Amino acid sequence: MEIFWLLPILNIAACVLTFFFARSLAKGKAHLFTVPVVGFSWLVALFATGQVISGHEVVSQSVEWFDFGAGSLRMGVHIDGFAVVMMVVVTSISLAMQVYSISYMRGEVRYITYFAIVAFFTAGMMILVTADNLFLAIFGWEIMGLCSYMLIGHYHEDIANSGAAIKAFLTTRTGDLGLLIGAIICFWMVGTFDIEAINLAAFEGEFTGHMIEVAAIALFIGVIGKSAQFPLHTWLPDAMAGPTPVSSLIHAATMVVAGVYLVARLYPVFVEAFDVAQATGLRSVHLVALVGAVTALVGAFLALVQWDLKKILAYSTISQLGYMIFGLGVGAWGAAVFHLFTHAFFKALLFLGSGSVIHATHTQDIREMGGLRKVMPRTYWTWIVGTLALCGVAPAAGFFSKDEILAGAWHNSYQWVWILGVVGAFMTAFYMFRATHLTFHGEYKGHGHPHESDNYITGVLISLAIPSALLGFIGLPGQLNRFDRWFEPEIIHEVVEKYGMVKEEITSETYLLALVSLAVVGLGIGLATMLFLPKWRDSWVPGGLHSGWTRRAPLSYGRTLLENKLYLDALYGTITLWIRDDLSRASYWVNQKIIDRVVDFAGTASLALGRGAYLFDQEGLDGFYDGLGVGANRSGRALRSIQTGQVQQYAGVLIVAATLFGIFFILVN
Amino acid sequence: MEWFEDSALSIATFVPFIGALIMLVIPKEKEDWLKGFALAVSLTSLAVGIGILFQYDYGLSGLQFEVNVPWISAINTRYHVGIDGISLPLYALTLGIVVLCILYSWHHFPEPHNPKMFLILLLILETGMLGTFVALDLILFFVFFEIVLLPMYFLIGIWGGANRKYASIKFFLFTLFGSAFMLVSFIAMYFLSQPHTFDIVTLTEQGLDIARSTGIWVFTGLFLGFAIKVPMWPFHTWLPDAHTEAPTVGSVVLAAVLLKLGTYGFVRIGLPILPEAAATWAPWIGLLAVIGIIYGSLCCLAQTDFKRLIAFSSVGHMGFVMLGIATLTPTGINAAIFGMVAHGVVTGMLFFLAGSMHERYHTRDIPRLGGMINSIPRLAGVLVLISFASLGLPALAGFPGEFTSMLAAFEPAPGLDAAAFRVFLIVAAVGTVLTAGYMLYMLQRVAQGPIPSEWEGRRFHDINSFEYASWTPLIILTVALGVFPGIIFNVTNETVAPLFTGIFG
Amino acid sequence: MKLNFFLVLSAFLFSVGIYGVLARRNAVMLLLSVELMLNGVNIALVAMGVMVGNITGQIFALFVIAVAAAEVGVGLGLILLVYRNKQAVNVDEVDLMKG
Repeated sequence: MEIFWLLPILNIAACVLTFFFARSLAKGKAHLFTVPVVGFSWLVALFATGQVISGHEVVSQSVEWFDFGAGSLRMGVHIDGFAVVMMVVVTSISLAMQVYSISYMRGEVRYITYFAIVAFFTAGMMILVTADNLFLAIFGWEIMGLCSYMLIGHYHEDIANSGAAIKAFLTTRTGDLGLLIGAIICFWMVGTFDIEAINLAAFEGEFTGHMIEVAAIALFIGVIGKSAQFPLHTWLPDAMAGPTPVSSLIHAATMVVAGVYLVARLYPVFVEAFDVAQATGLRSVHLVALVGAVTALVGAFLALVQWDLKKILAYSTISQLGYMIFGLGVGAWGAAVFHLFTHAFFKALLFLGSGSVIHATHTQDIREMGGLRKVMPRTYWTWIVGTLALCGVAPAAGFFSKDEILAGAWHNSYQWVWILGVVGAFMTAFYMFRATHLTFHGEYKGHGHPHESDNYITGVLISLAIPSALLGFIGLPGQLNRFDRWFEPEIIHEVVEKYGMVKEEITSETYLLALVSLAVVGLGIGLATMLFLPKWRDSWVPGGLHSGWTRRAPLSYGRTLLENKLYLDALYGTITLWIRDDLSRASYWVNQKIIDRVVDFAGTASLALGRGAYLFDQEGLDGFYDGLGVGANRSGRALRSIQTGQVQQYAGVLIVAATLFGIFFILVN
Repeated sequence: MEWFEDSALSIATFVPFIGALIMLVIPKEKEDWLKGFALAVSLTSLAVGIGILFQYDYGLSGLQFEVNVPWISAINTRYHVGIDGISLPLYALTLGIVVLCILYSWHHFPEPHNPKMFLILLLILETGMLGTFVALDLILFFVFFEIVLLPMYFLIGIWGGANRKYASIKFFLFTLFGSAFMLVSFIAMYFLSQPHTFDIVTLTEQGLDIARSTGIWVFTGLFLGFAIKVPMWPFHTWLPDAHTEAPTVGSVVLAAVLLKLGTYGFVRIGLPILPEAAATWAPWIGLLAVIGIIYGSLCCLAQTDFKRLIAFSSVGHMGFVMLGIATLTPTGINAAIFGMVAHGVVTGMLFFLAGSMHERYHTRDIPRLGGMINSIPRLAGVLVLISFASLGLPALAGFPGEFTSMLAAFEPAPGLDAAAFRVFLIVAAVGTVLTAGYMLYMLQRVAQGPIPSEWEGRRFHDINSFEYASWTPLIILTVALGVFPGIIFNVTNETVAPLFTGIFG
Repeated sequence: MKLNFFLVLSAFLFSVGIYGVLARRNAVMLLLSVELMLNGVNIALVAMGVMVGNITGQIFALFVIAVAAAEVGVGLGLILLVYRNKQAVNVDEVDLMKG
């Protein structure tokens, strides 16, 4: 663990070397520089995990950085279990997607730049999660923003892609103004940017007045931007314009969870500011829980109406990030971070799997897919593992992590959040299986010749499927919870203890909640299968079972019953269809036409305002100054008429003036 | 090394001027002699400057390399020069920038081709700038301050763009107008001091025993002189024209150094000698500063001329510098000086890039440009890097100054309205978003995208060796300042902290 | 002899000179009028000098005569040049300094 500080530097070095030497030394094979470095980092992270589990001390190293008057800064790392977990996430997913990219990005334009920036991004995330002070953390945060911009806009020849990159950067930057202000407030309250110090001060109530709330709100605005929470989530679906491996790294597993990380790392600040632990009635509707829950639902609803496979996953990510955030908001720290951990793996798996599919079918539209199960078995089975994990089907990882969050919500008296979370779980299962059925089952509806992807790609998919399936067992509830025990930082532990936010024993309540979750998920899967599994879809059209012998008594009663049943089915069908079609389309419409319009309007308004300001500058202000010059000119010209050039006139003036002077002097004296 | 202590500053400051005089006798046909000589002269100054950097004691807070001899005793003004943590970074920046400018111009002298006059004017300009930063006597300061105007006027007026006559006269008269008031204030300070003195150090130490309203009037004169130079809103309108029409090297020097003369004047003269008046003015300065930030960014969004866009971005960046100064705290002033150096490096670099782009495309019109990443990838890469530095990305030069300015704004000096400054803080933060907006918008149109049909098939040469030579130090500095802000902060804080703690409020 | 007579004569000559300066068109006549003004002043100076008993008046008058001579020399030279260029010496026509 002591060499963690070296890892970001190595990745940055890899980036720089790739930029300068990949073409000359490695014939353009940029990955030869970056993959070994990230692989090494991954091994170090795994080793450190072992160290943490066996009780290694927290590592805190720093060097003097600079002194700016009101305080001084040190550049340092603070490696505790939480940081190690995050490092594992970063290095694993980065390694996976880089290996994947060797095949996926082969022959693509700017291959070298791609790998260099990915390495730089990895370094940025590493800096964020190991930083011991907010200032350095902001460095990592913004570096990732830069890399995200460059990678989303990788295919910038198409202006839509560069537009998406700008949208992503600007939306997160807008959130960042909250981050900066929050950091500034924390500094002035505590006297330092050091995270441990800030947490301690927050826990012990040393922030003056309402400043802690202001700071928490400000920081959370940054989180809303970076982690694509409602209402600043609109950049994430557009960010799918980048290459798919990028989406798996940045927009599923690492950058977007930076906000979640921030809340988790500065948890005492948020707990104290929003009274997370004292949830009673209306007081439980606080910013973090509210935003997280709304996001979870909005993401899920919007995923329903997408036909683009990547956009489905994007909205799914938004929804899952909502889960993580509200998990933190209801006091389930361990559960939320655990979900972050597992989500990274299965979401990356799903994205890379979608990449495999897209690569094979040359389209992202699921209406042009179908039947891929037969031609791409490895992609298919890893996809199923990922989907089951995402939907929260036991014993895949997602079940334990998501369920822990819901259980936490229930336990800490956030029942309304629990309800919304369960609805979200239903929707998640529903839309994921909709996608799965349309993509992999039935008959192929496209025009290409899809075939299984090569070993780089499928190898990575399989490697990610294993943790997606098995990681759940670290985070079992109650006393079996290894995750909390190993990775929860000291100060968080104190907060949790103080407020009793985690349930220690497994009771029947636990089983009941889990059962409800599973049931809901099963319902979702079932409904989706009924509606979308191609070979069953046709048999549910009402009236498809007509035949004569049921019309005559006494079977007419049976028939009516059947028909009743059918009516019920029709009713359910109508409701389901109404949710699937009208309600979700309505919310998507609101999303696109109203919220996104505001964002776009902000852009056009700024442009118009800019033009207006410039016009004022040129005509108004500058005109005034020019007017001064013109005025000087004119008055000069007006006075010219005195100069006639006539000598006698001059003489006359002289004489008259002299006479007057003379008279004046005589009179005075 | 006594002689070095005594004469280093004078040598470094006046060598360019003497070099210019010598160059007058070199015939103008011998261009290589002229260029080589000019480079040698500026390198000599730079070498002396590096000597100063090495000999400077970074642990001391007072003036070093001080020289104080009588000059014009009839008006009681002395030749008093010295350097401390406030002026050292700016002094070094000036020395470096001029060398880089001469290197850059080696094969790229603007039309009408007259390297002799061009270089002579540049060297005289250098002396003026250097002298301003080390002068410690008000009249001496004023002389150097004004020496800067004439070479710049000619540089813009003769070698500038299409609208150069208008731009050069506007620059000259506008700045002179402010300087006139500044001189009045200087004279007022002379007569208001007991005993009468023009010496800045003495004035700072003993202060002026005057009524508050008198101080405000005197400060107003100073404010006009310096604010026009910064430039602060609404006195900034000379800047876009001057920057756009000036030749590349002129724009670089203008952005990198000349703008700093104004802010330096605030820090050196305005704030220390008239702290009460400064405290009264501070909220207004802060207000104008943040208006400048937002206004500059908005106007940038509307620009189609690349150089004009960078010019307006300067208005925005100097807004951050002035916000830092307006907080009247050591943190804020440290931030301001950092911002000055960072802006000099980054925006100077941007103007170099603009010049190179103009030289290749023969246009500055953004709608006509495009696809640079595909046609000249290295130049585009540098443009992207420097643009991100300009928009204040952490780990690059722009961020520490901007962030520390905002940090200082949260807790201004006691006696100042903290609520107002916190509002300024929020507005400045919004400004960072707008800055990102126009920079990315510009990059999208200029660097990204396909190559426009107008330039299809044209092969542009990527960065050549002279450009590499003149840009590499700036690029390295951009990254270095971002990652190790201590390079500047550790130097300035030694001087700023004792000087500015406790004198306000 | 009363002083008044001399002063009146002086004033008379001076006024005639002023009239000449303002009203004459010919440049040579203008110079003549200027001479007249100067001589009028000379008379006044000498008379006053005699009155007061001081020699200063006469010395002053000598100065004036010398300066007048120089001025006439230069003036006539200028008029000659103007004549060469315009074939006439009408002061109304020489207005090149018109603003």
